[in-house]
Amino acid sequence: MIVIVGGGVTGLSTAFWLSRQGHPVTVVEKGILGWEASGRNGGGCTHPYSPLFREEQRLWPMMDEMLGHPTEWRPFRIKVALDEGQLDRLWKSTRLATDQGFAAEALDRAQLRELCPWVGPAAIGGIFWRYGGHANPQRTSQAYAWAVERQGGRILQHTTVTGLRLAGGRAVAVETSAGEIGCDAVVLAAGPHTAQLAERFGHRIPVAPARAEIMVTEPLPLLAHGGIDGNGLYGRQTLRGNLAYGGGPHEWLDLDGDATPRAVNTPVVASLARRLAEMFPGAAHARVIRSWGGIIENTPDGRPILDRLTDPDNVVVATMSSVGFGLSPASGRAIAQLVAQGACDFADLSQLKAARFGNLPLDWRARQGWEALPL
Amino acid sequence: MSSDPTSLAGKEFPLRGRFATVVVGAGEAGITAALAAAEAGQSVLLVDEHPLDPGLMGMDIPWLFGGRLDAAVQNQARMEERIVAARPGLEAAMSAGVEVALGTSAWGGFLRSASSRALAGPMLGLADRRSAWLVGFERIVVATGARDVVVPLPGWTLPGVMGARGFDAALRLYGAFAGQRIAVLGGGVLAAGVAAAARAAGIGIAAEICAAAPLRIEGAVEVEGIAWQEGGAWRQAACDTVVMAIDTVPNLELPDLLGCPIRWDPARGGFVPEAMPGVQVVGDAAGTAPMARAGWMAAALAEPHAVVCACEEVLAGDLRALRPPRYLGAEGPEAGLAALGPLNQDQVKRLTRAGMGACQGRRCRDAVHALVSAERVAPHASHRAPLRPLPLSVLAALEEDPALRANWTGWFGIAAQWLPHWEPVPEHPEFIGGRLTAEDAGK
Repeated sequence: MIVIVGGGVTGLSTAFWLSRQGHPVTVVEKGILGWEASGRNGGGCTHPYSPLFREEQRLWPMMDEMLGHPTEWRPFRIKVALDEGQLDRLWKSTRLATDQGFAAEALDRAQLRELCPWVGPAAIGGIFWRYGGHANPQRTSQAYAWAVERQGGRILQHTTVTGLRLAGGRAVAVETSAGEIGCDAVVLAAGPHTAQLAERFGHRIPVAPARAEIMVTEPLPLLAHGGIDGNGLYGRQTLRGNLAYGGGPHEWLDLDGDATPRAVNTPVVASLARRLAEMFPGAAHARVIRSWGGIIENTPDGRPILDRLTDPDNVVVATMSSVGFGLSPASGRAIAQLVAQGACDFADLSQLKAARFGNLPLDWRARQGWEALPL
Repeated sequence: MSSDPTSLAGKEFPLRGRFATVVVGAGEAGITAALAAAEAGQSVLLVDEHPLDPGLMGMDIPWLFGGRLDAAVQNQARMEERIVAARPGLEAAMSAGVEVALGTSAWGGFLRSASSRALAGPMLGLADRRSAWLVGFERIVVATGARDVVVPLPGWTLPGVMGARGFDAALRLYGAFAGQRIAVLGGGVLAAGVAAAARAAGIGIAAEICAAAPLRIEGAVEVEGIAWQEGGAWRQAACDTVVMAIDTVPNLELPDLLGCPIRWDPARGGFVPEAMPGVQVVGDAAGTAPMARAGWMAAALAEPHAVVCACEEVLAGDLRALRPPRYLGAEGPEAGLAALGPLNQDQVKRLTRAGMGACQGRRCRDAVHALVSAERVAPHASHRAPLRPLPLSVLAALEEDPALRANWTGWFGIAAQWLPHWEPVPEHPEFIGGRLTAEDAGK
């Protein structure tokens, strides 16, 4: 039995790949599946700086069929620049993908307006990425879960993991609010709670929780390609037509015991609206109907930890450091390989080990300015 | 200790005024609270969203108006006069020193909390038809009244179907009711009040249907009549308006946003908010008459074709099947709703889109709750800012701290996050991942 701690998108994808190969899995989630950042992010599927990028791009077009439920995945991204500085920086990140053989084309203002009638005269141009894409986070998280169950896996919601029972250098059981679950291997994919849980069996996995915000408008007529963003915002037009965009200041937080902090909103929502109206003046009449927050975790260098520990040697730690949704088809497959065969055969994960933080000062959050403000 | 320039720490939210007490909602309870605070020597702001932006009325916000208000509501100045005339207490409040802001909606309430430590203090987000702003407060009194409950009866989405609160506002507050002859649904005080007000105004009453019965609202493009079963036979009546006066519920969106505990209490209408330090809830917003909708809801929701969510076109059958929205052309899981385990309305919303539309779930929230509570009472569906659907341009007008703009970043601003992860992280003396320059952060 492989127990996956955390019913977010990373843990669910791991369970999907493992159960697909016939491994018995149990996912243990303290609340509702995909409820935290996994189900409420920007839906982007474009991460060229990740060693999992190629696999991300290869897998997304197949996910609907493999999962048996729609993820709302759509290919391509369009980037909008409102000044030369923005355009330069867009090209910098574009080169990360084009250096790996993916294609991108410059767009002048007229071409940009043909793709998106809402951009105004302030837009100086853009880039069409013939790679990447976007999907619906909640629908995707749920689709993994239903596929896991169809493949014979078990999912326990509203069940809190309290610790691991170790014996002979291995995890032999996962202790939960609903009793012990005997295990042959464990995947710790508990998002911001990963540090807290790892500490209970003597491992230091440095992550700091933070809150971020997104807002969404009423539906507008559908663009041919909804994955369009820029001006300091990430986001997309959903398949229903809503404009869903996030970005801007985050807030560093502390966990509330075993609970995840409430994902409240602040007046930053109005700043998101301002930047969206700057980018799409032709849509400034669109009404904002909702906003939401999400709690994510970051490692000190902002990069994932995907690592099979040596003691206990049957535990894999997985945090995607605040960028987990889009990479999930690939990260889940990589983690499944770490569990089943000890190494990933399709991506170089050598830089993503926990050991890189071996000499991390205890007060690293304070040093980085990442501590929660006093209440 | 360093600071993270791209975080919310140290950013300010400019305020347009600070008040000891703000009162939201200038009905009887709100005016009473505002007067009491002013008489105690406090600085008081009393806001009310009426006269409403006609755009919001068209979206059935905050009540079910059913398109039955005439063009008079377009004249904002005249409507403002009417509202002052309809609520004589407003003049008294102004004389007592209360600052009154009409035509001003409260779209957000922000308190300092474990999840929002960077906020300097309590703030209320306000907006008129042009712009949004913030005010600071020490104490807030929520007097936002009650909201119409929509029972998804056949034909309810036709123009001409109103709620009791919507009808009352059209008739008495705005003097702009555009109908001639109404049918009234509901068996309690609420329905009796609607009928009495209609009679007093000389409006014809085509039918009064007191108990849940097989029924359909008829009409091609708008309400033309109603048919219902009585004593085994179908009866019919011609009318241009149907007033659904079955039930109302406390309008608890602002207390919910502020973090007040929300409790299920059918004796007080359904979900009711509890006070918390600095937040007081008064009048109908704190609790209404005992719940009277259960029988009507059960009958309406038994029909698989009942249109529960009109914005997103979600039928009762779609909800039970947990069917994805129609544009995906896919089926839900074989087990339907049972595939989710204990039901949560927000989760069902995200999967079916019921409650996700432009009316912000006002028209379907109670019906969806009834449907997902067949086995156990589901938790209440959350409310999110903005509590009124405001145009991007209105929210965009909120004054912004220049430091927030100068340090804006798309995502955390950690330099190493955006460099190839197959290469080691470059050494940085202070920030382990390095900081993006202010210029680079702007991407």
